[in-house]
Amino acid sequence: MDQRSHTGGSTTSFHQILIIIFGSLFFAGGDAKPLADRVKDAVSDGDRSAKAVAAAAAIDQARGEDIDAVIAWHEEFFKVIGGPDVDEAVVHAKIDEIIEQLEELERQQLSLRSDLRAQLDASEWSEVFD
Amino acid sequence: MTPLEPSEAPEPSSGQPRRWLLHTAVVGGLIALACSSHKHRTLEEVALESSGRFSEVLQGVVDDPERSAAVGAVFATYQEEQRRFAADMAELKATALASYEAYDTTDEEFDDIEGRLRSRREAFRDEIAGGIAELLGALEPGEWTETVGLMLEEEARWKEAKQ
Repeated sequence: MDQRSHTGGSTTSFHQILIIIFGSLFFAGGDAKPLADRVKDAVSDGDRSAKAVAAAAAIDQARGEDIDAVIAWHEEFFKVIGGPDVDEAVVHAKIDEIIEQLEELERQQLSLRSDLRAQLDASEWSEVFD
Repeated sequence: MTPLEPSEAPEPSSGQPRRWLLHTAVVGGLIALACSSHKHRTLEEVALESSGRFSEVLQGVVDDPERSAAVGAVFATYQEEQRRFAADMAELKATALASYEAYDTTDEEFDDIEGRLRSRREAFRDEIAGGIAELLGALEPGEWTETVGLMLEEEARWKEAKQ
């Protein structure tokens, strides 16, 4: 899994310039097999497998939603800094707001990771991520 | 959308100073070199490419050569800051990813990574907030807004061309 392998995809490069500005983290790679599929392959216990796959599917789904959210924040940011009354304080405050949003997004990503980890033992985890 | 190749960049306006053609060529060459070892471009690579295109549009808006040079100097500083930030963030992201994938990573270790990310983001926030203020100081009223508008139009055209 490699977040750096995620390519432009559905976003425009103008928005991507802002993604680099704020350094968003996306833990799941765009080219990798869905995490849910990898978890399904790794966990043989039927009952536990269902819970683990559900947790992994939540991570897959959140990743797409996260990217959409970040692009929306960046669009909003550009509308603000492209406005006629912008100054350093406005830019500073808007970036602070986005940093907070990014941190919340990352906390959610780690919370979903914890949910998945609770369903897997160490060897299954290694099989999924190695 | 497939990112624009440097060789496919739109023709600059006829009044654009020669130095910006040179600048564009140099930036394009560096980007091509940076991308040559990757099968797919990363967000960071595409973003740096966009930064070069933004610079072109910005220069097209400013007619006065002296002010154009001043704006170019400010934007060049911003681009350098952006490159440094990209390099630092790539390192931090790699650390974060390794921790995410490691079974035994503790909450304290994630807290440490979060603190380092925040610190670097805030440093870059201070750099670019100051840089944008400086840029606005070098532009006539309305030029910045016009630049943003033109860039959005440019993006829409490229997106359409690449679909």
